Amino acid sequence: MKFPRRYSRNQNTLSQEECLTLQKARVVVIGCGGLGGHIIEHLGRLGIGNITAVDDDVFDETNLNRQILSTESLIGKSKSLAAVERMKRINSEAKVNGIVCRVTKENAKEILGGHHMVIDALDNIQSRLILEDTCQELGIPLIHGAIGGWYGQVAVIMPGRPLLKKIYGEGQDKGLEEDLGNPSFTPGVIAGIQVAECVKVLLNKDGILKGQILTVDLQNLEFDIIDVEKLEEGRK
Amino acid sequence: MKITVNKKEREWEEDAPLTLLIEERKIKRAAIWVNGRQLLNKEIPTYIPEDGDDIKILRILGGG
Repeated sequence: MKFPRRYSRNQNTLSQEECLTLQKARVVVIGCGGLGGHIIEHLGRLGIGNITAVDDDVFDETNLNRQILSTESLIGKSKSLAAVERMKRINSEAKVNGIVCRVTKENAKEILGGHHMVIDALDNIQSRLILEDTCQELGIPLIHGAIGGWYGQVAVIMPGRPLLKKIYGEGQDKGLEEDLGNPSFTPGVIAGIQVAECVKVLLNKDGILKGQILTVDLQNLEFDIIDVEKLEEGRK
Repeated sequence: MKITVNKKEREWEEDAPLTLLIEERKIKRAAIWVNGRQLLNKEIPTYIPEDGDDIKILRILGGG
C-alpha cells in the first residue's frame, strides 16, 4: 500500500505502521470550543481516521478571540457542524461526524460507546464528572484538559483509575476561568498536549500522564506534574 | 520554618494559616494535598502548615 504523502512529515516521529494505526482510530472530542477546535484540527491533520465532534452550542462574538473554528460569518452557527465542514477542507480522508448535543448522564454511553478514546474539551466541571464516570464504565481512556487565564492542565484517565472527582470534589461547576477568562494562547498549548497524550495512548507509547496531572502556568512558564496516585499511595 | 510548595522549598512563618498561601497565589478555589493527604474543603480555612510540610496546590480550572 502506498503511504499518503500528506502524512510524510509525521514520519519519523511516527512510523508508517503507527500512522496506519491512527487512521483506524475512533476518537470523540466532547466540546468544540477553545480546546476542542484546536484538538480536532490536530487530530484531522495528524490523520486520525474517525473523529466525532460533539457540542450543542453555537458560536457567538466572544468566541472569536480563541476558538479556531469560529469566524465572523459563523456567528450563530453550530460549533460541531463547523468542525465537520472545516475538516472536509483540511483532510477529506478523515471521517468526521458532528453531533449537536450536550452530553448528559442519559446519553453519554450512547455518544461515547464504540470509540477508542475520549477527549475532554468541555467548559464546565459537572459534565466532566459525567464524562469520567461514563468512560470508567465503558473502559475507555479519557484525555482531560481544562483552561483558565494563563493556566491549564492535562491528565490521562485510564480505566480503573479515576481522577477528576479528586481534583474537583463535589458541587463545583466553574473554576478560575470565571474570573480570568480565556485568552487566545492558552487553548492551543493545552490542546496540543492533549493530542500528544492521545497519540501516546493509542500507540501504547511510554511517558503517559497516567494518574498524574500536568499543570501549566504560562505567565511564569512553570510546568509541573502532580502525581495524584503516588501522593495518595505514599500515605497508605 | 520551611515548607515545600509544589516542589519548591520556602520559608513559612509559624502559625501562619494555609489560606495566606492561597491568597498569595490569588486562587479562589484549589485542590490541596499536604504530605500526600488531600484536604477536605472544610479543612482548608483552618489548616496551619507545620515545619517540613510537603504541600501541593492545584488551581481549579473548568474552562475549555
